[in-house]
Amino acid sequence: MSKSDRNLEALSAYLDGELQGNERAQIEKMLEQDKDLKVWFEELKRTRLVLRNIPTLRAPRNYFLTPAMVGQTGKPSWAFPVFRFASAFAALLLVLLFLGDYFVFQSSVISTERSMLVADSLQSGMEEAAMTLESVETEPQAAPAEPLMLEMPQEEEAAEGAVEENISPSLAPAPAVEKALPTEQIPSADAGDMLGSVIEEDASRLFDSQAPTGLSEEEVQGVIDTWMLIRVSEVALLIIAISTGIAAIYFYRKR
Amino acid sequence: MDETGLIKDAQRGDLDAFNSLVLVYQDRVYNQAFRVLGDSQSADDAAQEAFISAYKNLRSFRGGSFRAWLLRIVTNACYDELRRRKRHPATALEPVDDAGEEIESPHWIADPSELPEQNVERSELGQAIQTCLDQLPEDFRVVVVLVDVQGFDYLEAADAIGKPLGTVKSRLARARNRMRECLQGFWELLPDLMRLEV
Repeated sequence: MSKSDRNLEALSAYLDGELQGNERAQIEKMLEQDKDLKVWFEELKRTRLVLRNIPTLRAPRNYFLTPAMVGQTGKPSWAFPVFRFASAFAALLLVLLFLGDYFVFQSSVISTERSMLVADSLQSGMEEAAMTLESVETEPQAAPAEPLMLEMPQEEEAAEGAVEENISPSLAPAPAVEKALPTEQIPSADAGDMLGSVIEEDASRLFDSQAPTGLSEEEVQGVIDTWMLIRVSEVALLIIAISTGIAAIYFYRKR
Repeated sequence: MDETGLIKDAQRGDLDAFNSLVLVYQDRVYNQAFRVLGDSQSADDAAQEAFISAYKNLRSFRGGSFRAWLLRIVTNACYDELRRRKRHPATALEPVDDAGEEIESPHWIADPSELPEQNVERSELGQAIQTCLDQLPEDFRVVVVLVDVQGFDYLEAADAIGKPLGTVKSRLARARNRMRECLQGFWELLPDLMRLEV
């Protein structure tokens, strides 16, 4: 029998007890009859014994894995999604606040422009009233009080008319004008002074604060408080959006 | 130790459970890598790489022989290393003595618990076997190490290399025959027990 590949495979499998039935009986019969094959088989058997007794080497070190080796940071972190959401939410609120603030600001600018027109009218009216008062003061005895009483409403009505032309329907008429134009009373020289001072005070308040006409001090304070609240909220949201965004980036890289 | 429990824990991301499996199998994995690659440094790298790969792909393990699955991974790591060597061949730095002669029995193979004579014989025999293994084609070497060194049966070996049973039988028979021819010159190194069995 030649040492063909087929016999080689059969002998190797027989050595490992992998042959069954007829194949096994056939190989055993051949080994009994063929001495060369028997020697070959014994060498094969010894080779296997050598390999099985090859020194077992110990691993030079432990191959324990660390979280860093497998790209793991311990347990899955909840921090990244939470900070990411917080950052996005704060940024969204900030944008909405900016937009709302922008439109409110636009309308307040329109109001301010209207207020300026009102103030201009008031100022011109005030000047005219002052001039009239001045002329009255220069001829106190010559002229009776009636003409003044008649003239003053005309002047004031003219001023009021100018004011009303410039005030939109939504805006309330200037209280200063209403205060300054009592139609039942006959203004005297003192009354003229009082009228002028009231108008001047209101007008200066308008110029100083640039607040819409018709707002009381409490309302103006309220507007200022709201403005402050909006600014503080914007700054706070900006800080939150940036800080949580940085935290989200940190935790994302750490994953 | 409950291996199945450790595997399940490791599949859920428990690194400590996986490290318990590493402790059990690291010698086998290292030996497989060393016998296939033939040098300790490459074997060390391949073993570490295999465990990392095993952990990352642990979810793909669907039961069966964990040992075979693990050795399949290290075998693939060895194939990768052998392919890399073919692409970038390098000259091995063999240890030399004071006279510049190559040392045939490097100290890193030595077992310090043996007597010096036994140590020398065992080292020389081990090196002779490794030399013969290194001369085998890669595919033959992998199979003969799995079956004759690691003690796998044919089915486990087929599972480990991902080839049919017939391929394992054929490669193993050829590998053994080549080893038989190679070891002819080293019979005097065999221990008495092996010589008596013939």
